[in-house]
Amino acid sequence: MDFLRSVPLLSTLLLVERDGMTFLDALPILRNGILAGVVVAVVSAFLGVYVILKRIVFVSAAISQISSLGVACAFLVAVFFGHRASEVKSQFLSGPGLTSVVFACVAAIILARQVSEKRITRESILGIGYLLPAGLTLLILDVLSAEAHAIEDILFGNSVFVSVEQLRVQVVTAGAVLLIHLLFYKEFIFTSLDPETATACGMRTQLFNRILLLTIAFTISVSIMSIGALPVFAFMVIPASAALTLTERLRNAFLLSVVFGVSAALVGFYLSFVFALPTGPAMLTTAGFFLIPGGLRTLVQRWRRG
Amino acid sequence: MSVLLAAHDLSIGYGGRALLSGIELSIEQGDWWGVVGPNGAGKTTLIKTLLGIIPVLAGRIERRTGLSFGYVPQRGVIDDIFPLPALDVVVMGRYPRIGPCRRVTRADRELALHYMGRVGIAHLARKPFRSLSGGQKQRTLIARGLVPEPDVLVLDEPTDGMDLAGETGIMELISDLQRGSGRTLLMISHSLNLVANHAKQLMLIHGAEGVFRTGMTDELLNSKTLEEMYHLSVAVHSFAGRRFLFAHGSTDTKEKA
Repeated sequence: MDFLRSVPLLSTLLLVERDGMTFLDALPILRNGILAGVVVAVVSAFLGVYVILKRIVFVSAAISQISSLGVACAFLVAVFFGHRASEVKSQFLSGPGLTSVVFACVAAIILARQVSEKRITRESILGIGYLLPAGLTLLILDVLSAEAHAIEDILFGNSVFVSVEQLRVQVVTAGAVLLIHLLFYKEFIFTSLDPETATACGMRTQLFNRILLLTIAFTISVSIMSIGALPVFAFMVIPASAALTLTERLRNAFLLSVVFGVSAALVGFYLSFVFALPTGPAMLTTAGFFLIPGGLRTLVQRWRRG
Repeated sequence: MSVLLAAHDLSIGYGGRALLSGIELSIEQGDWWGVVGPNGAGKTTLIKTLLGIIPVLAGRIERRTGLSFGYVPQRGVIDDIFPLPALDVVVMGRYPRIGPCRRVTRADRELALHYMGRVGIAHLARKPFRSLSGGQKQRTLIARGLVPEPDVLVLDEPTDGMDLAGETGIMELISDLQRGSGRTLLMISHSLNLVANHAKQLMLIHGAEGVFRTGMTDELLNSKTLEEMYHLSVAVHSFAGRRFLFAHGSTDTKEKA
């Protein structure tokens, strides 16, 4: 501790006090939350590059709502059969966690299908896929008003206090998703860039598209239960958008996006402690700052072109 | 000559609705097919069906075992949001050959560079694909179509939207590639004038009229066939070893008059 006090910048950052407790003192309590935030940031920011490149931002929004509906439905069914919210919450992996993942994955498979846009556009389907589950979830929360707090805790996450079990699920999910992406990187890129040519050359485009969307669905459904829907959506969209405005190399875009995501998670978490801010919005707002370099670069390029 | 691909009593279309039925077709090693027809005639639907991109409605397609395709889509298909150097786009053509869970090797990159050289754009390898001109993008996609060294190379409107110089350059390149390799080539075009001087065989398609004709270019390019196809009075002239087609007006209008 004395050593930290002697390093000017570190002492200023880590030993800042809030309510008589320094950030360093609070670290053991906050550790799981910080780790969960970082793990979610890594995997979401990585997948976010696909979300932006494939122009499926609203697919991820719809999946997160449908996943939330899965959680709410698990509670509704359990309460209907006479169980209490605390019991459902304690059997998280076999209850709301499972229904959340199942709902998200089914949604991903349905949304992966190509639809004829003669009568209804893809945007309309995504809008409906977002709005209907959102409305149903709110109705279920209203019906289960006595249990609403327990459900909201899972639905909107609690970035500060994450259980060891939840952290373990998060790490395993992120590891599995990143491994799949490491193994099938070429296939995901080719089938995303030019699905018809990939099919013509003998690639199983539909299969890889489904796997890609399933990894996104799985990540969203597990992550929103760790840190909440808003920061997960932010990590899927903002770091990747910022990275893609700064580089002409796809691999660099993945790397930059992850660096931005992790930085936003850490800085956001720290700021939320120091200024007593809600953690999710603090991480989201911090991520927003990474859009500035890309915005400035675009402005300079336009100015140079006249 | 060995048959690479044959279609028997084939029906093509989208969403269960047949656009054209009863298609009989045989494509052999070393053929150079021009696939021609008016806009919306079903050219792309036919080619996508042959490639397996869209399902067959009825009938059957026989492909030689291990038959491989290189496909050159219209350049607008590639979304400029992807930050990829031209070389990376070309290397993608090797991905199906490399297979899942395996890395791109130096040999794959060298092969990609070789084909970029063949189409005259090796110096653009490091340039972002999205910053290239229309003609350069088209050459990049042709290199990508060639890099898996396929049995059949299929090109969809490779000169669409190009100026005269770009159009001539691309057509000369395609003809040179075909002469040099003896590779089977299928090229979709709505421009009969363009295909008439390069392709050895023609597929004439007009889905709305139920017309599907195949044959040697010399045999099919005559006023009678083209009038049936386009309902236009078309004159075919030869000058300095090249064919020129002139449309003189609608035959329907003349009949009414």
